Amino acid sequence: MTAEPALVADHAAFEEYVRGDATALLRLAVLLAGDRDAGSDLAQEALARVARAWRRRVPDDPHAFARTVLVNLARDRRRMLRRRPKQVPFDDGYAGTTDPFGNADLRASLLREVARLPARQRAVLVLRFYEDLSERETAAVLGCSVSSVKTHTQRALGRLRETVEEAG
Amino acid sequence: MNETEAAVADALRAHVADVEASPEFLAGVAAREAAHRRQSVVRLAAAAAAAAVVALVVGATVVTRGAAPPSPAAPPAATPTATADGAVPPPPAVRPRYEATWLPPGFGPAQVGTDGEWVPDERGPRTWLETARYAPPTRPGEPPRGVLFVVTMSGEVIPPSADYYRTEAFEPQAKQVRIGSLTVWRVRDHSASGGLIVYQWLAEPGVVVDVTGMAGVPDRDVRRFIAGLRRVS
Repeated sequence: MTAEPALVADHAAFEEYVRGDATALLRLAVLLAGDRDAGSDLAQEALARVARAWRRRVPDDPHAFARTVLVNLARDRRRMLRRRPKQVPFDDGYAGTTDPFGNADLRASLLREVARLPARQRAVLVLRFYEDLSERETAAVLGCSVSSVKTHTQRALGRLRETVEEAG
Repeated sequence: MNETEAAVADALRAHVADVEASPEFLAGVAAREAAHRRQSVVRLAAAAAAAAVVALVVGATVVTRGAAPPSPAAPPAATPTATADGAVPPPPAVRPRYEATWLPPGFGPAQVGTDGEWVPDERGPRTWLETARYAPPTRPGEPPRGVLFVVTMSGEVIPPSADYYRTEAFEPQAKQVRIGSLTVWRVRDHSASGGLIVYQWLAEPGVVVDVTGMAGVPDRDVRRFIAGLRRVS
C-alpha cells in the first residue's frame, strides 16, 4: 500500500521547496511591498504560514499557495500602515542603478511611479507583468473579478504610459 | 505586450534581479516557523486549561445538585512538599510588572493572552508590539537575556514567555544607554532591515523590555516611553 503523496506532510520536502522558491517569492514580495526590508519580512512570514499549512496538507501548487498568502499579507500590511505614523524611508532603493543599455532612468522613473500606485493596482501590475499571470489567474489570486483586474491594469498603465512617453 | 507593458515588466524584473534569498533570510523563515509552532502549543494548552476549568465547574455543579456528601478523606490543600532528598522546590518566580505611563501617538492596544503571551490576531487591532515576535539571540555573551514584555490593552506592560520570541535574527550592538534606572540595548535586525532599522531594548537584571515594534517611531518617543515605564510589582 502506498501513502497518498498529497497528504504526507513531509518537512524535508518543505525545506526543499523553500530552497527552490525562496528567491522567487522574496522578489515578488519586494515588488508587492515596494520596499526590500518589508518584502523580506513579508516573504518570511508567508513561508512560515506555508509551513504551517504544509503540516496539515501539502499544497498542490506550493508557489501559487505561497503567492496568495503573500498577496494577502501585503494587503494586510498596507491596511496596518494606514493606522501607523508614517515612516520615513532611509533609501527608496531606486536610485543609483547602473544599466549598460541606458534604461536606468526609465526604470527608476517607472519604479517610482509604481510605488505611488494604489496597492491593488500595484499588485495587479506585479502579478500580470512580473509573475506573468493571466487576467483570470490574477483575479483568482486577488479574489476579485476579471473585469476588475482589467480596470486596475488599464488605470495603472495609463499612469505609467506618460512616464514611458516622456522618456521615449 | 505593448511598449508600456514591456517597459514595466523590464523595470520590475531589473529591480529585483539582485535580490536573493540569503542564509539569514532562510534562518528567519525557520525562526518564524518555530515561533508559529510554539504559538500553536500555547493555544492548545490554553484551550486544554479552559476545558479543564469547565469540566471542574460542571463537575462541582453536578456533585452539589446530587447532594453527595463531601469525602472526609479529601486531601488538604496543596503545600510545598519536600523531594526525596529533602529539598523544598522553590516557589514560582514572580515576574515584575510594569505600567506604561505613556504610549507613542497612533499606536493601538496589544493582543495579550491569558498567560501574558502575545497573541497575534489577523483580524484584530495591530499594535506597535506586533514585531515583538523578534527577540534577541541568547547565545553566550550576547546581552540581554530575560523576560520579554508586551503591553496590554490598558497600557500595562507584562512579560510573555521568555522563549516565545527567540530568534537569531537579531544582534545586539555594543551600545547601551542608561535611561533612568534602566539600560537600553540597541539591537539590529538582520532579517528584515538590512541594518536600516535599529531596534531598541530595555533591560535590567532579570528582565528585558521589548520595544522592537517602535521601529519607525521617533527616538524621542521611544525614550519617552522607556522613561515612563513604572514598575508596579
